[in-house]
Amino acid sequence: MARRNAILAQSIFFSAAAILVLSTGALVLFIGSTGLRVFSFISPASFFFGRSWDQNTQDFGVLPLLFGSLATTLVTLVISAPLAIAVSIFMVEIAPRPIRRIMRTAVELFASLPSVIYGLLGLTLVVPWLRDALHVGLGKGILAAAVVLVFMTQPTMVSIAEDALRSLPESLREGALAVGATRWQMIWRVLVPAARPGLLTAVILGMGRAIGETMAVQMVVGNITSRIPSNLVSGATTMPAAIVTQLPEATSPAHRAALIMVAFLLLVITLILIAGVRLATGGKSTKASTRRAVPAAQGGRPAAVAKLQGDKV
Amino acid sequence: MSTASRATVASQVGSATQVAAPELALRLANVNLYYGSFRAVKDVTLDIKARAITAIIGPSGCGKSTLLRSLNRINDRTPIFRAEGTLKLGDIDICAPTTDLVEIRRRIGMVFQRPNPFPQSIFDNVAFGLKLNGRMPRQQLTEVVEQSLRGAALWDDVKDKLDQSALGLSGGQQQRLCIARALATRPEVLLMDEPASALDPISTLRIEELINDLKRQYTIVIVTHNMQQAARASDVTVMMTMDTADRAGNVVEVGDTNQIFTNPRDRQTEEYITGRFG
Amino acid sequence: MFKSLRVGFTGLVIMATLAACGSTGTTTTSTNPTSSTSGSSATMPAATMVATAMPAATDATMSATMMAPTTAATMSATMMATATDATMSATAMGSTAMTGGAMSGKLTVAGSSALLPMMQEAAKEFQAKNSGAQITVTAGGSGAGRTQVCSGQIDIGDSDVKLSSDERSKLNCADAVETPVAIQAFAPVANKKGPGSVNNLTKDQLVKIFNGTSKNWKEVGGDDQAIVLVNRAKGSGTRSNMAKFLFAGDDKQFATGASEEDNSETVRQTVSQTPGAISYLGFAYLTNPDIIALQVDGVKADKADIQSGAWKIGGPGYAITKGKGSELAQAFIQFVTSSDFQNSDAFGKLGFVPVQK
Repeated sequence: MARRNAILAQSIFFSAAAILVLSTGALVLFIGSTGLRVFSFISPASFFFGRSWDQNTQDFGVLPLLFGSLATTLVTLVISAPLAIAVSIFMVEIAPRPIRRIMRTAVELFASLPSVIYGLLGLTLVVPWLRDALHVGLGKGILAAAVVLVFMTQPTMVSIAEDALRSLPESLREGALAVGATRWQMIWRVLVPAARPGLLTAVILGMGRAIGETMAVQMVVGNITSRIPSNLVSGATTMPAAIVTQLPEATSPAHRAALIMVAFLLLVITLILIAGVRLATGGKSTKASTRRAVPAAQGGRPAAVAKLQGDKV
Repeated sequence: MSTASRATVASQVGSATQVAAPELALRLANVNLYYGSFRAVKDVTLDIKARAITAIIGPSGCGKSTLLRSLNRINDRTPIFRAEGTLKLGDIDICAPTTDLVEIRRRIGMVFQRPNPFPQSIFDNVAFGLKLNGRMPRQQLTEVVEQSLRGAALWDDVKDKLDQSALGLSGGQQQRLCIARALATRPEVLLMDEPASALDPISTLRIEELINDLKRQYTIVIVTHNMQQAARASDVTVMMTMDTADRAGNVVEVGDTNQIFTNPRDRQTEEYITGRFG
Repeated sequence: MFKSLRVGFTGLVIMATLAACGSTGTTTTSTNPTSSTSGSSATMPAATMVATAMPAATDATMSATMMAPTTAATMSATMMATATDATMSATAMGSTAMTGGAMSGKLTVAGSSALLPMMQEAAKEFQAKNSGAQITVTAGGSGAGRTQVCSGQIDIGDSDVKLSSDERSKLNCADAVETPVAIQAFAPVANKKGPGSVNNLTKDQLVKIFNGTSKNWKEVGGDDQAIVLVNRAKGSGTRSNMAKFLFAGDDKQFATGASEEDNSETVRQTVSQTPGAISYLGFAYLTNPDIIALQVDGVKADKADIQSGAWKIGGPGYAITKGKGSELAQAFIQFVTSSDFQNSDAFGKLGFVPVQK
């Protein structure tokens, strides 16, 4: 009976996995093939290197969108990665338990806010603040989007970075303190390097959130697609914002295909980011991660194994 | 070890080497240790001889590790832990709130039950404690790292792969690396919390030989479950048990290892070392 | 690595939705009108759905709420309420209506977000009279309304503008029937800082402002304050109507570099908080106290002037069917254009002006 259950469970899990893998493949194929139709309307060169995206002139150069996405993500990360790492260090190593609990609740709240709320806060608080602080006409643009995204990426980044730090064995902390490290030396010289794969994963996944965010960005970025932005405060667009703004009104087949090609690029970027996470956590660097350290340190292996592994006797 | 480099290191870590009394390294008087309201160790009064190996033995749960871990105040990390009584390293009151924890820990090194190398290179592991107090010239750093690794009998194993990850070493090698890391800051006292319990017999033997070599320069306090190890390796043995009434650990007998193992005065000690309880 | 998987998967879902959305124009699916939920999700700004990770119902009606002149603070609350309204009423009303009417069947309506509140109201009233009818109304944009009705995904497409001749051929929609259902009026609106004492602009002044020639309010008699242009996104019905008035329909004459907003609510927010800002909004927004509605050539946008044609910005919104449409679709459109409905209080409150029969 138990055996039959095991077989049943196994086949359920196997089918679930198969469905996921197959649908992923189908998706890539479908969007790719749909998006690539854009090249029956315009040349790849004018798509990839075009400096203007304007349905009035039927120019669909992706650079303004791509540049806007990359610049927004970059500015976001420059602020949010150090912030998230600092917050997670505070939560794991410094904050007393009640404060930690409050902070975790706050992080969860941040995570569960719908992005339209972020957009609204961005529109009513961030944009006017930037406008007045920087004396620019409107205040919408890459900087406004990045400020909103800093808050939106914190939950992802903090929770993963916190996990990474928390999972470090206590013995590492004691080892550092026992040779005379202060708490800060322990944190910066031992814990942060030891948690690096996890922290890197946190940053990459936060980056994924930033690059894919749509609604909140669209409300504060200005949605200007016709040129590559020359600064951070005078209006720009990102790939998802352009898609969501334009797709409903995209009646020309070239326009629609171009937008789907942008979606395909976004898919490719997402896949690259996921591969980056794999590399950060699964590649050679795992050796330096603590997961490997624990079994090695636990010892208790027979002497023969120890011999094989190079203990000279 | 060249005297020159030793002097430099000593001056870096303060007046470490001069302060300690030649005969007694650590003095404990009426020490009581608590976890919250639970008294884990009671009324310990004990002198620990310099440049000798003191083994603390006793059944599980009798507070051996708690006592050892209070000596460099690493147990302070447990929020509910509290120590009462007098714990002195030379003239320094270890437990005083004004005492500089960093200095205490540089003068009292510690090796843990499980090897805990940092996920860094072998070199960086040993140099870790040296780099904490600002920069040290590279050449001097290299020298001290080599001396420490030689001191921990690991130099020949690792001299060609100092820049490789310490986690690639075997368990026994990792533990000797941790000893080298502790030696690098030139402590006066070395605390060892069952340093071989996670190792295979051959690695254990090597660690014991190493400990024996180290006693010429260091005061060593070692907690062990292994009777043979205590008998073989130590000069003085401290026997602890757990009081049946209040479950607090206490010291029942202190003496020369030889005497304890051949002619124990206390009945519990005798029963424990002959394997009748514990 | 559960987390990365999940994130990856989310990304993929975005793509799936987009693909579904994008394929609507190029594939000729004969979607059963009953599958209104899937139809409506395809019409929505697709990425929004996943990005906000909100229930589909909330999403489907979001832009509708964004259109309505609600204040920022109440927006999220209204959003939830509207979500329930939009989807629940459509199905629930049909079965619980007390008067058994003649018409029955299912109808899917999608398109212009400006027309959405009016169509929802009409659907509610129509279903109350015809217990067998089940009408699902969603937004998605005028373009989506035109595209989807032409591809047969929905029964009625709402659009702020007519199908262009180009669209009629490319979307294979030569037989489309366009019925005017309400007159929408639009007017220029400005932030309180900038215009100064000016509350009227000539068409010529407006043209110069929106094509970027005039850059400061003092050039049109206002304060010394830089003009900040705020546009709706290209293709929006509101923008098309403005272009029709200012530039004889030539959208290219709008100054480049102005921000482009996806919906009227964001425009209202942005204009109300940005000194020197100017944009244009639908009639329903003009009474909003945060902004100034400007007169054009001495005419104020009010009901009488809009109906008489003295107010020049705006025009009819259309219900489009492919061919004549089903019997139910025809009946529904007839109800929407009936003078009973057009002259009802509910219709007036929504800010529309009745079409002249």
